[in-house]
Amino acid sequence: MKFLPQDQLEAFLAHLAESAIVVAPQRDQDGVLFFQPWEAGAEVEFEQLLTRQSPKDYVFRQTETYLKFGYQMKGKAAAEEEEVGGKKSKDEPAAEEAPPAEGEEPAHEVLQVETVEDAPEQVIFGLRPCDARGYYQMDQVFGGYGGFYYDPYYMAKREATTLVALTCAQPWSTCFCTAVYGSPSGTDGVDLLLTGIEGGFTAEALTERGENLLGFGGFADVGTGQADAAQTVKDEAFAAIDPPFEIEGVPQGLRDNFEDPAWHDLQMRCISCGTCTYVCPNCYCFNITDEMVEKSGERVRTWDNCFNPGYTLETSGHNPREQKFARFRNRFSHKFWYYPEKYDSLLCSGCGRCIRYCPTKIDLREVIRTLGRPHAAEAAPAEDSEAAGVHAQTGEDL
Amino acid sequence: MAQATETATGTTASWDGEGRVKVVGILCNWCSYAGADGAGTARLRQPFDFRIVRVPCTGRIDPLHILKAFEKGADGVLVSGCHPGDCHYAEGNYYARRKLELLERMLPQLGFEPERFKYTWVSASEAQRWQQVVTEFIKGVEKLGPREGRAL
Amino acid sequence: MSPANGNYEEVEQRIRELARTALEEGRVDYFIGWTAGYNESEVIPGFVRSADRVDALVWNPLAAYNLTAFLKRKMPDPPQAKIGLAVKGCDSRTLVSLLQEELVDRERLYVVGVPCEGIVNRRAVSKVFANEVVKIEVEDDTISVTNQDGETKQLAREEYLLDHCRSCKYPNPRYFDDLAGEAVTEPEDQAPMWREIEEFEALPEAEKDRLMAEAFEKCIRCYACINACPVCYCWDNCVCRARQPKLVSQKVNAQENLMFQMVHMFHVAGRCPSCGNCDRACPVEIPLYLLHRKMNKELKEMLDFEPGIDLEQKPVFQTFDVNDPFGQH
Repeated sequence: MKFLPQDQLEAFLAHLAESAIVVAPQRDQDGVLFFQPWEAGAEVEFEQLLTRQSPKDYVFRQTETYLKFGYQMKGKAAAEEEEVGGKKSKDEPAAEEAPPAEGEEPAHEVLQVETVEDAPEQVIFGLRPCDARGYYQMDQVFGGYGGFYYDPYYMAKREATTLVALTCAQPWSTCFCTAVYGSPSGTDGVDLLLTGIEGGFTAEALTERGENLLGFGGFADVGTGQADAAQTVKDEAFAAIDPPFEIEGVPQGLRDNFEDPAWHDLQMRCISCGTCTYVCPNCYCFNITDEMVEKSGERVRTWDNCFNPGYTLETSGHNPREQKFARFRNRFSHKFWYYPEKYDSLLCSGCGRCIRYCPTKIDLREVIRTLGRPHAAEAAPAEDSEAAGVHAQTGEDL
Repeated sequence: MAQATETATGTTASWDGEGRVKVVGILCNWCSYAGADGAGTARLRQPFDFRIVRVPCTGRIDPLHILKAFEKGADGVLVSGCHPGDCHYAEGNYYARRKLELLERMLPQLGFEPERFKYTWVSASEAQRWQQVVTEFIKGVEKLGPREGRAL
Repeated sequence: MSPANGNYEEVEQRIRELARTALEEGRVDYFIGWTAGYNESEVIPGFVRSADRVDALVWNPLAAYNLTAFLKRKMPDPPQAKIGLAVKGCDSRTLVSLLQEELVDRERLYVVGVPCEGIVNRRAVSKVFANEVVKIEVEDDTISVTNQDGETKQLAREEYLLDHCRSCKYPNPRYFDDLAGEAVTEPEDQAPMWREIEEFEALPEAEKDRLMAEAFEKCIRCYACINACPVCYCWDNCVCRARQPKLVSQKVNAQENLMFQMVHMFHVAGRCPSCGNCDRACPVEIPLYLLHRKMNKELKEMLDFEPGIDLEQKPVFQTFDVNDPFGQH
């Protein structure tokens, strides 16, 4: 463990920026906190706990160009074509049909494809353990099981990314990482963990990448009591979060309650936008489209979300999740039931952004409390879910 | 058919490399398109940097068509139809007028110079007027030059 | 906007009574009002299905959400439900817009009008602390904001109202079945205020262009604005979300985002009274008011028209006047 004095922070960022793009939380023109590429002199904000969006965009881009393509004329008459801009007048078909001269290629269209590689070395600085855990969980989808699943676009960026996380000293009321196996000082996916204490940060390297970062000259050895101070910060933050639900049994609960009418009540105020999924550090659904203008275009991958009407629309015209409640149910079931069945973790890291930035503040905790209880447990008096105490609305209806 | 329509069929060669602008005209079939055709037949000199989209009536035009043209790289858009009261479908241009007026007033909010968009009325017999309208409009756009790196 | 005379509790009680009666008499299947959110700084839409739950309904200057959004096409669940809802002045104007175009069935509605004295700009208020705001209270002309450390700051109510509340001409609902409480005094000066819009208009074109690009650069295309919009009703068939035909690109960048927003703006022209629901729904705080309020300013100048005022009026883009004072030549 090392110690980074507060006055060395900017020097450390500058040091990192020498060899990589540094992405850190900064306020925009409207005072909203986002992860943005850092330039010397820019003010980094660590006081506010969470950025508006998770930093997943830097690895799993909202718009990612896979490749660019276009058709071009080759061979005889290509030059002529150029001259009139690809448009042949109907009056002169003879010229086009004339046999090519000896050794000359006949006119033909050639498809040209250019792949796009865009995976710069980058350091995501000051993200929270829940954001880092988002990457950790997405990694399984895009490169998990020893590469059994492998997405070269995601993985190229992920492998070029170092995560420097910051322990949350003061969780918000919407935080619930401790309920989903996380912690305000969690280390999943983290390369270097900083913990704010008096006068600076303690730094723990968790991977080789993180170890390399400690080579920066501004680090001091931890002084007496500094390690303990960091531990106190971590413990206090952990204790500050009252887990709003018991995660054991939630997958079974969602399975048991699949047809529960409470889904209909809980989704009433959902407006079927995609805010929750786009601010989420874990949601990874995407769509691939060919964007063409005339004879050239791009193949792009864009974020998609399960509230999008086209998300499950089949070619036949049938849409298995045509109704809003089904889309709503899918989001929670995917995070807490389908995904854990396929992979070895949940698809939620408890940052609470979906609660806070939802236009109608739909509360994931309320949904899980209401519908994540297995039927077997129902028989016994279940007081535990009420004890959560965050906001004592039950989900049935008001 | 005159120059204007020749360009409308999509020759790109003349646009490139000469610092010229791309202007899209959305013309009603019954009046302005015929007026432009008349101008060509009469061999009236007209700017070349002009692509025409022929629509059955200006009432068919959605303000978004115009924004889409700008988005895809047009430097100016000129809409022209029958004079109010003269619509082939009796009232299409009255509906269009409200929509186009709102668009014209909204464009500056998005950072468009007012000279980049105009809606006007030219009848089938007004070849002379067409020549004047299109020349003036394109001169205005040329003065501003191409739109590059714009918000929309 | 007149200073608050603080009869929120009275009005709140009245809303509860009216909701209770309607539910008991079976006139509505459920009642939509406002209720407490995840902490005391948030008030959210609440759906009440039984008379014994009406006490969950609240009314205070944080009740920003326009509940008419739950009436638009395909939104009510089930589609044939008889719905009771509470509307503020601006909310009622969106309802009038929907009624004008026969987009909601008047017979299946029970509308409780709520005279409004202005809604707090929660977004601005929550920025006075870097850490979490857990409580917002309004008393007379002061807003008290408390953060998670228990620190409290006092703010002047006037400065922290939503911008369209400060220039609101119609604080009393334009359409309702029952009014909860006394109508508030409508402002004397009937000229609408367009201060923010005029400031923006005065900027040079290049600057406006830059600001638009900057604002729409951060759009994440979550479509919260259109789904929260009470008068934007294509729902699943929105051209921006459609995969086939693909008229608006799936790519997310400032240009495409602005194009998408223009689709929204032009499709609600003449129906949108600038209730601000899109603005508040935006998770990345894009100043959408610059577009919809500008549009209303122009409609007022063009046609002396204000959306959602008169139930008998024909939607302005579905009709015309041969003497419209523009586009004569």
